[in-house]
Amino acid sequence: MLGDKSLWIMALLVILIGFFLIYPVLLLFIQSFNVAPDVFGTAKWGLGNWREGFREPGLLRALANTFMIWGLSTVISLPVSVAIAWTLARTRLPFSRTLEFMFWVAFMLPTVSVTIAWIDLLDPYLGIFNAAFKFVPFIGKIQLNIYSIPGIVWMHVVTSGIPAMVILLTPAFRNMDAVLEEASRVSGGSNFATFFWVTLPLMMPPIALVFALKLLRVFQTFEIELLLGTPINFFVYSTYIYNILQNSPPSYGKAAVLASITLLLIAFIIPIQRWILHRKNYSTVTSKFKPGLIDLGAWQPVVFALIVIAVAVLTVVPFSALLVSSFMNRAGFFALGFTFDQWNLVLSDPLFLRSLSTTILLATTAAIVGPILFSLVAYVIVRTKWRGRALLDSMVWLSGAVPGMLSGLGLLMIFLGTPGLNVLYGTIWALMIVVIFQGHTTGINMSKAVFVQIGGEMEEAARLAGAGWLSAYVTIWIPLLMPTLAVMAMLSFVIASGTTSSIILLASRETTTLSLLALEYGSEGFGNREAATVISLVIIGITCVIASTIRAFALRQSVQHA
Amino acid sequence: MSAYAPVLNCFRRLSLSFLLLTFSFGAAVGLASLTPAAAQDDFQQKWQSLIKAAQKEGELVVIFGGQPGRVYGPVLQYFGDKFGIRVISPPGNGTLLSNRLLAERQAGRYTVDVIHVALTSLYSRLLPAGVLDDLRPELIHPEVTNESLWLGGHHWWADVDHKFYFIYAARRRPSLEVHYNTNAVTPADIASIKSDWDFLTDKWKGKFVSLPPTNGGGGEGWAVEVVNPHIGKEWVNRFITKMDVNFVTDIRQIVDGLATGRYAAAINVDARKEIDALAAQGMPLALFDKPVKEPDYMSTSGQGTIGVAKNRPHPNAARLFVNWLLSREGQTIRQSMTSEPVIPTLRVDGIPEGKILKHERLLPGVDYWFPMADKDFMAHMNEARQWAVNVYLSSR
Repeated sequence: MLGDKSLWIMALLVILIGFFLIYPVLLLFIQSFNVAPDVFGTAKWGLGNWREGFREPGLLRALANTFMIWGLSTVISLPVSVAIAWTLARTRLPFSRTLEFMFWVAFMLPTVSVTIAWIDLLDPYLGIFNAAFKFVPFIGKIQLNIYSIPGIVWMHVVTSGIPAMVILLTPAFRNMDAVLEEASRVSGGSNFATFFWVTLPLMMPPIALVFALKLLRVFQTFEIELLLGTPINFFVYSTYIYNILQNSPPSYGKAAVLASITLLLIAFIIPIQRWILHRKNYSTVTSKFKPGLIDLGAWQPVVFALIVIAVAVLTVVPFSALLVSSFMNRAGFFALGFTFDQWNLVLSDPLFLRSLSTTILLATTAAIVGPILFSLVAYVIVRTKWRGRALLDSMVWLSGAVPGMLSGLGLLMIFLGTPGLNVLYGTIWALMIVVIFQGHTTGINMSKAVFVQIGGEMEEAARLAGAGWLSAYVTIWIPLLMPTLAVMAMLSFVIASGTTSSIILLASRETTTLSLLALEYGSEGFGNREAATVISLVIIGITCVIASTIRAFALRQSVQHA
Repeated sequence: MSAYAPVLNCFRRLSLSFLLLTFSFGAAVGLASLTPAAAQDDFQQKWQSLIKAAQKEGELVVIFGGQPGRVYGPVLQYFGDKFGIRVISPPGNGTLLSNRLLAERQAGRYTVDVIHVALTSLYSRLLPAGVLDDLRPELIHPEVTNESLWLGGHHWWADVDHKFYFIYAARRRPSLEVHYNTNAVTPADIASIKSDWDFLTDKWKGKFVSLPPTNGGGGEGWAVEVVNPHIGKEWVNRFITKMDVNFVTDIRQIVDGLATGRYAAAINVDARKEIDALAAQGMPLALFDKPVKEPDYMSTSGQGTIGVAKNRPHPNAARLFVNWLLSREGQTIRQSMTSEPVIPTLRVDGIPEGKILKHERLLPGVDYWFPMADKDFMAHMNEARQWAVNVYLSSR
């Protein structure tokens, strides 16, 4: 539709994505060959990091542990999430929208805060649940221990597992054409059989996406294993990278070598997901699209109760634990009493209001610009036949391979070392650029998964009617994409308001965010976890308010189900 | 000649001598009282000029590194309000701030004036990179330059060249700082400890928690013990490999675990303020402070040291801040206004104690070992640290 302009647009996208996303990765990769003690000293080139990097004692076991955690958490999270997403999107479950939003709230809860909340509940010595069990007949001897492999798997399931998967899958399930399901039922298929043989195969792109994202995430995050694994000598790959970066000077070269394993994973993921996307037609939203919901009949109260329990466990329980801890002198130590001191400390901090306004500004910018940019990139990759699509797609995945604890260094290097861009160093504009691109891997791939669901005949009809590309995009694509754009906007807002490692090297006191302030309060030296919890609650509060506003707007603009 | 002539002559000589003596004495007194006042006037003039020049610069950038950055907030605020200078203290821990500082300098940007980071970042990164400037010419305040006003009658320096990083505060640190849960460790257990080597007996197996050598602060602590002639490699090796130690990276978890009795004792965790605060609130925690054979050493615990950066953008503001902070007023403000207890000043001219912890005061007449100023230690610190890391990782 865009004719000759396609080359220029593709070049612009490749340069944009390449510069802000691939260039930092490239800089880090180059540093993997720098064997000087300090990456900021005089460079000394060699293969020492590559020779030593994979010889770290215990590394193979850490790698095996990582796959074990990923496998166990995915085996539990994925089927549960698919079932929940299908139920929320495709059935007449009462309060489905509200319940879906509660999974968003669960997603918004910061991983570290939720982990600490569950430690407060399930610590073998301090845990509230363990203390309460003692008073319950027959189960008084039960003692749950969060510091265990099941505890670590549990935390992955309740943080980046079920909540993340449900919020990514539900909009995709909502795009399911009821005609296809009705045809199955008319042919004698039960709801169960329809789900397995009709719905599930058509949902393969978004399911494959969450599967791949979960794998990447397990290699990038380390907070859960650091808190729960270190006391029991359980290490995973990312904690190894984290430990290397705690040396002084930090061994960025060696860390980049170890992080390269995620590039290897990407090398498998890219062709597999392209094969899945292109092996068949996944269109469910066509010109004949018919929305419709399924009645669960007698199962409805049971399913409703189960989902409410899931929401309670994922959201209400950790949120309540966080709220209670924020009023304690020391979380977990009821004997030391309650206080408003932590709230007073935070609210009277001269940096608090400034950090709050910076956070809202950055997160709102990301929520507006991010989805537009990501959907455009996804459109080019999926809906066009332009040369360079495979390159663009590969760049999107590759740039998501680097953990945040490393990418921050790459970003620092490009903002200091690039003429023109270095004037933005130390300003809010640098942070804006960084937060806009946060969540690009998820955002672009989410959009791709939705674009494959949407049939091409509507765009063709618009073209035949004389509509330009922009007109077609605004009048046809945007309404169809609205639920996904809303999800991406909320994702971008949540990620931007909680991000730390990507911006800490670029932020100044004037541009400190709430997440960085929480990091300071909760840091080892300061050790005021309760004050950090107060800030986390403020972040959750503003994200809930903004998210519900975005959601309400999006629901009004999108396709409505009966 | 009159019979009285000799008497008169004698009287004349005595009178002359007396006059001369009186005159000399008066002149001496006059000169003596005149010199300090002149010197004082001279300094005051310089000081006022410095203040004006610093105010013209208008800004001061200090990197603190982690917790001190928050704790010293009120001190920076006081300085800024007193002299009308905007003080900027970027967020982040020592590693991240060092990353920024070094990356900026590599790109030709010089944004930092005063450096106040922990010694780990200083020795392993900032000193080798030549970031710090000679501090000695910057010290102009008589209260600072007068070495008799400092512990031991001399200045203390954290670098082997004695010119880059000034130590103005330090605490007494037992060679192996051991905190314990008083419900889990009996008085008989404590009484049996005559030497740090007594902690390596079987009855202590599985009872300790510690920071691992891979941890930033923990690593520095273990490096010190490896090179400590009274502790050494054998002790550290046995402790890490034979004593079933619980190595935890999160200090909060360590302290909570110690308070609940999950761990009986903690070694080398540098969490004395938290533990002391909990003990004061009634938790069963105590510091093992019984004299053992091995001597204490001085520790700055991430505070108490200061330097200036080369090519600093606000040289007058930096000079003003350093001299003010090290002066009697600065140290008094520091010990009273910080948001948490700080380590004691090394000034000996009666600074009010304020928020310092009494058991951290350096005891007079004790010859403390300051590892970071020990050339031998510094020559082997990185090697010692890496050795400890390897022992730890191999034992996992």
